[in-house]
Amino acid sequence: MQEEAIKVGIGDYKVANSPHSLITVALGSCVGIALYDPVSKVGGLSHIMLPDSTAFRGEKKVEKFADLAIPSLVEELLKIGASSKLEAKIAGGASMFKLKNTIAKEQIGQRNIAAVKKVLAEMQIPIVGEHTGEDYGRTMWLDLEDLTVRIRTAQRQYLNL
Amino acid sequence: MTEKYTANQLDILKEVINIGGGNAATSLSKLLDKKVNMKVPTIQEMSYDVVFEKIMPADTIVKAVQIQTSGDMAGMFLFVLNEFGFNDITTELLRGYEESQEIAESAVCELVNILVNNFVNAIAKFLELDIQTDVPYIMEDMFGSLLTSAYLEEFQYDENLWVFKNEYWIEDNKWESSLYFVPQDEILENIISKIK
Repeated sequence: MQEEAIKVGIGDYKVANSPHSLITVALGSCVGIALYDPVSKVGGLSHIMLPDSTAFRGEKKVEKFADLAIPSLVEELLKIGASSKLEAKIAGGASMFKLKNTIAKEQIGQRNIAAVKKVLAEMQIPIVGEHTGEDYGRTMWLDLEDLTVRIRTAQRQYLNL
Repeated sequence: MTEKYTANQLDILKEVINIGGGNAATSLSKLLDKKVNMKVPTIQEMSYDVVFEKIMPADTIVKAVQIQTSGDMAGMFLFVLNEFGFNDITTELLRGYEESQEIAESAVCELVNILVNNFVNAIAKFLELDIQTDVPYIMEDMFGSLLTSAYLEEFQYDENLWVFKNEYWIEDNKWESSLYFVPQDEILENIISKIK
């Protein structure tokens, strides 16, 4: 990647088009969702923190919640020229800590993964790549030129989705 | 959100952390037979962006020791060291002993165990609270992944987080280390109410 990737903060999302790339660092229990249209190469990267906004009252930051962020990101992609035939690659949702009195599926990482999958299924967006769960952090790039998602784990291992 | 605590309540919390942190520093000093200093504790509300800008970049690889607490002060202690600090401390702890990664990690784990237990015992005694600590776990990961996950696992879902942080020095060497306490929801309100 010759140019600097566009940074996506924690609890945020950004959109771009080819040949740009997007990056989000330090996914722990959070989930990163790369969404793109493989034909127009318009895409976005989202870093959600929580599964479900309906459990919260008051003002909510859309970009933070799986159930709000994904539909909102899709809408934005359609606006800047993506077709409705989107694909998703997801990463993150780790269980970073050994927690007493918490069963694995109630941990926030697992709940985030489940919520992201549910929202994508409802919107009929296929997941074509996934690297989730486990107990370590991840950094995630979406390269809109070749549509690969690159993962770097906290152990400095690299893999492509 | 910024009005969560009054200035007076923050002073009380700061004093509580000062007592806990001071006791922890004393115990370290005895253990290492060196002068251990502690910076005035930080109690500050910050957004995640500000934390990663001012304290440490989110993708910095750190060693962290996690100790969960339960009872009147339920939450998680997270002792964070960068690689430089980790090497410093283990050299200090393992003087004259053969060094391996495993031994170094378990020495740091035990050190943090002593630190946190002294911290917790001082507060428990001062405020007459019932607090239990769990066993320590050491891990190596990105600062951002650990910190966000710690807050989220303890049900802290706000945009901003309250950072409770202590920094320590051994003699003139500042360890690049900090101790965070991530309280479960409502726990701090309970502690404040006990003081009044």
